[in-house]
Amino acid sequence: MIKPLRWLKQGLAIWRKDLRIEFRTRYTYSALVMFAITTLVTVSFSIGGFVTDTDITAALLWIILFFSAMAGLARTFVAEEETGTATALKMAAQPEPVLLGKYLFNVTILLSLTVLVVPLFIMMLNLSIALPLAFVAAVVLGSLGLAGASTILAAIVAKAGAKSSLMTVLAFPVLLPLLFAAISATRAALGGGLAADVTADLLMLFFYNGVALAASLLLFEYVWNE
Amino acid sequence: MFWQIILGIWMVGVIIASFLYMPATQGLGETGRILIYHVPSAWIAVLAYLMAMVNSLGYLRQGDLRWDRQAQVNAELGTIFCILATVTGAIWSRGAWGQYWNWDPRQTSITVLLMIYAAYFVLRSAIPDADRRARLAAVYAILAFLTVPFLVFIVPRVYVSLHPDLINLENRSFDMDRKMLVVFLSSLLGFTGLYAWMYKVQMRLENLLYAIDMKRGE
Amino acid sequence: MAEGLSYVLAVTLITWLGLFFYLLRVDLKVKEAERREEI
Repeated sequence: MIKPLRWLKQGLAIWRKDLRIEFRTRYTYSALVMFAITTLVTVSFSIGGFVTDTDITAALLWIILFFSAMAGLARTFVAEEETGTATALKMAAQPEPVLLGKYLFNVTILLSLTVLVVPLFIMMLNLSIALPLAFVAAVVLGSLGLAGASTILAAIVAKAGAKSSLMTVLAFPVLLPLLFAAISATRAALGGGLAADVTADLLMLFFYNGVALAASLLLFEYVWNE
Repeated sequence: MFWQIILGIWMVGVIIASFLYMPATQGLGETGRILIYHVPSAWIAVLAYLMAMVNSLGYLRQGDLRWDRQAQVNAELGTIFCILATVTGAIWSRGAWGQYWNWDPRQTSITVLLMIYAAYFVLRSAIPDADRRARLAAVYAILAFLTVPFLVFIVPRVYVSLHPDLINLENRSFDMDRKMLVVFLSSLLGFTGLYAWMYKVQMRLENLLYAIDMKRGE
Repeated sequence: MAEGLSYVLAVTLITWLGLFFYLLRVDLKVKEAERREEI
């Protein structure tokens, strides 16, 4: 039975629960931020202050965001399995609200990371942005997609025994189309390439988000229930 | 055993014909002969991957481990033929474009396809329990395959494709010499037979392994 | 026939024949294993 409103209500409850746990320890968020800052500093230090090549800066931004996301987002489900709360959660809610709640939590974490990291990135590399609105849209839609596709993969990794490097291996091929589109849109927004291409790339990102979320909702049941 | 031997002779005929009977046309010169092996490999790779998807869906629907074995064998065969298509493509690319690899959209998408199934095998090797492995691998295979169509839209806009197409959509014709077409179709048939044979042998082997596991379990 | 083409033909043929006889051998071995499994 599909009951979107009830799913959303229960999903929000799980989202609040995860946020509360996160505020208690701040482990996921600090790990993500530290990872992002470390890579950002390394990149900025090694290539210097002024980079005019938008091909490189756009790719670097998304490499930083991708690997930070991989470092942190796998925690969502692994933590549930480790503390043994997965069974309780399974009894308390349907699979779909669980996925929605975790998805919202991942989105929150990743967006608050980008709010911190992207301005730093712009400052440290002295970027000038040709199309600010398109840039913001590309970053937001790209982050949403990263979080969306990684949520169900995090569940798979947790069930597979939380092997540490598995997350990156599984996520990379799935996220590659998203990364290509996001890099392409970011490059155009930074002033390289054709401005007319931005709309098509943003549309791609939008549809990727939709497909990732819909497929996750359909398939999550098979991952979650034994 | 009978049709396998026919297949062996058939492919010997195709190989000889592809070098002696078939003319070097199409503006590709002598290097164009590789398409007799390259295109059928790519076709079998797509076919096997598609079958793996269907088997994964079948497993999620019915929960029979037989589906999972079929999905695994198809994924393995698909990967073998995908690697063959990549290598033959790179060899041809060297002859026609001057370099082995230049991120042509076809090369990009085939790389992503290989990476998806590499990740699939890594995932399988990470899970010891058969039922859990089957379920998670099936979910991953379906999820990963859903993202492939996006590549078809995004990649050609970044790099323009130089890959020659057999079917010309503009004037609805089939750009092939008659002699070449005969050899090409024979090769396609032979490759499909080879795939069927490899699939059957490996399936029988997997079934045997499963039967032995069941006996041990009793 | 162009220079070197006969060489490519020979390599292709030998590769195919090698693969073919290898597969035939594996097929026979699997058949043998199936026979033993039934007993």
